[in-house]
Order: sequence, then structure tokens, then C-alpha cells
Amino acid sequence: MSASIISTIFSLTDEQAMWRVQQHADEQAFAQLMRRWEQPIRNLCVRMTGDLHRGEDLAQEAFVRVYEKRQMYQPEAKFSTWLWRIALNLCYDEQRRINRRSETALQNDAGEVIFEPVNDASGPDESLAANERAEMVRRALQQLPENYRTVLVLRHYEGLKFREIADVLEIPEGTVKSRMVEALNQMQRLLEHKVTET
Amino acid sequence: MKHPNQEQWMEYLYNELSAGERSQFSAHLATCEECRRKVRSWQQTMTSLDEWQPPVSVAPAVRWSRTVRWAAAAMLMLGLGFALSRMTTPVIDQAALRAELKSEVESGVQKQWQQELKKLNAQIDRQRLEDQQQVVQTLRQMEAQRLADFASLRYELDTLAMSADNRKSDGFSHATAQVKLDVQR
Repeated sequence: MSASIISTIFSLTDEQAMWRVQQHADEQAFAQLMRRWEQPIRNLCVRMTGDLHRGEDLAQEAFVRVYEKRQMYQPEAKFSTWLWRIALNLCYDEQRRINRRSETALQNDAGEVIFEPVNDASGPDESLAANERAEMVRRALQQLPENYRTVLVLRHYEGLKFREIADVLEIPEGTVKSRMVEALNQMQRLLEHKVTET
Repeated sequence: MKHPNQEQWMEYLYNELSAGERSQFSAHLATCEECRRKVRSWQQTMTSLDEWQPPVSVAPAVRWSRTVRWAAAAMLMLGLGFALSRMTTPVIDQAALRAELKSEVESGVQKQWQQELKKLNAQIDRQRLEDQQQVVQTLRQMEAQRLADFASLRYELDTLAMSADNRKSDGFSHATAQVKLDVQR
């Protein structure tokens, strides 16, 4: 690939790249979109499911779906809004599948994967304590109702503005903020409860 | 300033207020214990949330490269297998193989020809025998017919000869009688 093509691709906006994917099934443009969005989408899916491997699988599936449904993309719409929505819908579907199987992310073995060192530089005791706190947060988040969890993950972890979340979820911005209030309040109670449990 | 509502505090906590609004909210916090307590509680929760960070995974790179690595490994194995098979396979003398094949093909063709010829000869012999039998039978029939015709002809001739004799003697008698009449006259 020549330098001019590389520079062209790197200068493409998400929407331009997606247009190329839609019109020409441009693999280079799609790869560019993946490079930009793989990590955020993977983090979203991991946080929504509380499961590292499942989240990563869902993230991959999200990109597969983007490619499959490229003809449905509206060029005037923001690409990221469309992508977040696709990934979230996959997370919701996965959650429903899990519920149907009467499984919870808290009970399955895969949850253990999340137990990974938070800070290797700290001492063993500190590291253990940090891991315990992280696990507590993960579990509390999974207990949060889905609509609150979504808003909390998108705003707190993924850094979307309330307006952007409103666009992704197609709900009023005021509703997003009130859900955020409720999400933080519930998380506070859940974490306090878990601290007293331990 | 009145107490901001909870939704407005969310904008404050997540830095979505303008600079002017933010300074107003901060000023309010400095004077309002109730709001300060509430905001501090949310901030603690937000700090707790930050304690869970999904492992900075190797995941995207590893998961994609895992596929690539598997594909590369499969290609490598295929390549090695091909190379090994090329190396371990004995060298084939194409000319000898061609000659051998040629002789095999030729002998095969020759055998086939011989068989066909045998079949053809046998068929010709059978046909010739049938023809001979047919000719003999026809000759016999012709002989029999000829004998029958001869017998029939002979019988006819005998009959004819006999009747001729009778007519001759009758004529002589008649002539004699005529002569006698003439004489008498």
C-alpha cells in the first residue's frame, strides 16, 4: 500500500470510512474503523457483561454485524452512535440468553477471568485488596438494572456526553441524567452492602 | 443560588457545565453542607467505579493475531508437508516411465487385437461351414430334382414310343388293306 493511500485512509473520518465500507466494501477503511473502535467497544461489552471473554466475543460480533449491515447505515448519522447501539443490542441479547439459561455472570466460571492483577507494581497485600475491590465493583455493576448500567458504563467508563448517550439510546437527555443519578445511588448502596458483607 | 437538582449535579460531576456555571456550582458547594455531602458521596462512588478496569488486554491484538497465527501455522505445516513430500518422494525417471507405459499400452493393444482377430476368424469359419452346408444341400436338391425330371422324361418317351409303334402297325395294316382293296379293284 502506498504512502498516499495510507495518508488518505488515516485522514478519513469515521463517517467517510463507513461510507467507503458501505459503497465499496472497502476492507482498508473497515480495518481503520476497527483499529479506532475495537478497544472502546470491547471495554463496553466487557463492562456490560462483566465477563472478559464474552465481552471480547461480543465486540468481535459487533464489528461483524457492522460489516454485514453496512447497507443499513445512514450516511448522515454519526457512525459511533450507530456502532454503540449495535454493540449494546448485542450485549442486551446476550444478557437475555444468560437469563434464559438461568445463569448469572456472578456464578459462572468465566467471572474468574476478571481476577487479574490491577497493579503489579504494588505489594501482594495491596494488589490483593485492589483486586478484591475491583471484583466487588464488577459484581455490583452486574447487579445494577440494565438501563442504569448502560448509562453508567457509557458516561462513566466510555466518556460519552449525556447528549450522545441520549442519541444512542434514543431517549431524552433529561432521562439519561436521571438514570445516571439513580445508577450512582444504587451503586453506592450495592458497594456499601458488599463492604459490610466482607 | 438555589440548590441545583440531582441531574444538574451530574453535569457538574462529569464536567459538562460551562466554566461560568461550574464556578457557580462550586461556590454553592462551599456554602451548602447538604449538597456537599451528596456530591462527596457520588464522588466516592465514582472513585470506586474506577477501581475496576478491564484488563488492558492483550486481547484485541492477541485474539486477532491468534487467528492469524493459527492460519500462519496451518500454512507453515502445509508448506512443510509439501516440501517433505517433495523431498522424500523418489525421483522419477520420466523417460523410463514413459517407455514402460508405452510397452504396457502396446502389449495391451496387441492382446486386444489378437483376441479380436481370433473372434473374427472363428466367425468366418462358422460362416464358411454354414455356406458349404447350404451349397451341398442345394446341390442335393438339384440332383434329386434332375433325377426326378429324368425319370419323368423317360416315362414320357417310353409312352410316346409305344404309341408310335402302335400307330405304325395300325398304318401298315391299314395300308395293306388299302393295297388289297386297290388290287381287287
